Amino acid sequence: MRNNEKLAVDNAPDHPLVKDNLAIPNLGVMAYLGAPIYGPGQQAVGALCVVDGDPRHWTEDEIETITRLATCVTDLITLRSALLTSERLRKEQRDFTYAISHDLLSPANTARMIIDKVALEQDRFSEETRELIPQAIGTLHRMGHQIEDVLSYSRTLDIEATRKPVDLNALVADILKDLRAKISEEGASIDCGSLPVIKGDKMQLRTLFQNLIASALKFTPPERKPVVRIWVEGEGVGKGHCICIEHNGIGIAPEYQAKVFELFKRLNLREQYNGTGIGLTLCRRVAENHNGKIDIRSDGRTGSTFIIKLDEAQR
Amino acid sequence: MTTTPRIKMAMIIDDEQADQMLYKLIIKRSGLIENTLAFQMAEDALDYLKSEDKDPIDVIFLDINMPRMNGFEFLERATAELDTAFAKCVVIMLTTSLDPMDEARARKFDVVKDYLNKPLNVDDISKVAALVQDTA
Repeated sequence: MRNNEKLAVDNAPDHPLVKDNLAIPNLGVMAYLGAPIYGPGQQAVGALCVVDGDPRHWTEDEIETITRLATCVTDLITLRSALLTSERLRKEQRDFTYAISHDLLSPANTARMIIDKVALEQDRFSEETRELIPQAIGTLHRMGHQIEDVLSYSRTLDIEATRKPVDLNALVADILKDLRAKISEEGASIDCGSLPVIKGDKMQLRTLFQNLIASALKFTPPERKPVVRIWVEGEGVGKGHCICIEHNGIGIAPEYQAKVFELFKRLNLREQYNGTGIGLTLCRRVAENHNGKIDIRSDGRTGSTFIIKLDEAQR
Repeated sequence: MTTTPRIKMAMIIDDEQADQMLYKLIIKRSGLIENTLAFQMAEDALDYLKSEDKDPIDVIFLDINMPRMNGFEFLERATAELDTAFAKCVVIMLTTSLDPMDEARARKFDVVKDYLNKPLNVDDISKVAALVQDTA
């Protein structure tokens, strides 16, 4: 086994490599067949072996089987090690995102204070320069928003989702209460059917529904009043839940439907529809954390329906 | 004595309104560019370049990260869909992207003559003016 190669010994006392091995007198091993098992660095970490108390001939088939089994074990070790590495990298990534977001907030706040001070003397500026002040304030404000959204995204990645029964009716009612100023300002009507109680992480599910409902209110052209409908489809069929959120907004053309879930992807100018491009990425993340997925149905003109499928059979 | 090269018409494609405003101020201060034509959406810029009665464009300042059509998609579409006039154009990438892969990808397009990182300054404009003159 020293050569990292498989070894088949039919009769140990005759074999030059193992004839002095103590396994012969002590354990009565007369025949030996072994195949190496490798660790993540391709180095052999052990062997999968079978022995016989009598001399015997190892057939091609037996050698093949033991080699394959050893390969399976190697694959399992590789997989386990990759999982550990990916978990470690995920944690590192999260810590990094968190640290860098925090470190960006502080200079942004400082710049904001400087601009506020400068703005006190704006009467002495040229017209041209004066116009830049609200732009600067707006830009910093946006930066703050962006950072907060990145932080909330990394926090969502971070938390090991809990699995407790969450009443979606209460959850949505809560969200609507938070959004009531926006709802009355937009003259929106919201119709929410009876929703199930599902097992999941309340914070994450809240983020999911809050984002989808808020974006339903947001992406409506100024001449339309938002109409939002929430209902479940096919309840009782299979183990999962399928929740639909429909609204009569600007819609998402089919060619952009996959794109909108990418981090920081935006389809509209900020002046028309503000946003950081994180919301839907976060929604997809929450759905995936609940063994689910999220799809869009839209013609790109008259509105969109977001279809959230969550699997009850969770680990 | 050589005269300072001047650019007749520059197109700016950038979704950020504040950035557009600042570019125009810097361009004005440089005194090197006579006219500018600004688009917040790359799609609209592409449509303009396809139109019959367009003004000749000497240089395009192009952002990468934009909603819907990004700078790369613009370059691909413009290269494929516009006539040879576009091939003679000078495109200057003007972006916040710090990713070296983005720069490499942009430089693969023949029309891209330089890659500038924001913020833009007056020296950048003189450099671009010289570039446009060399290319002409």
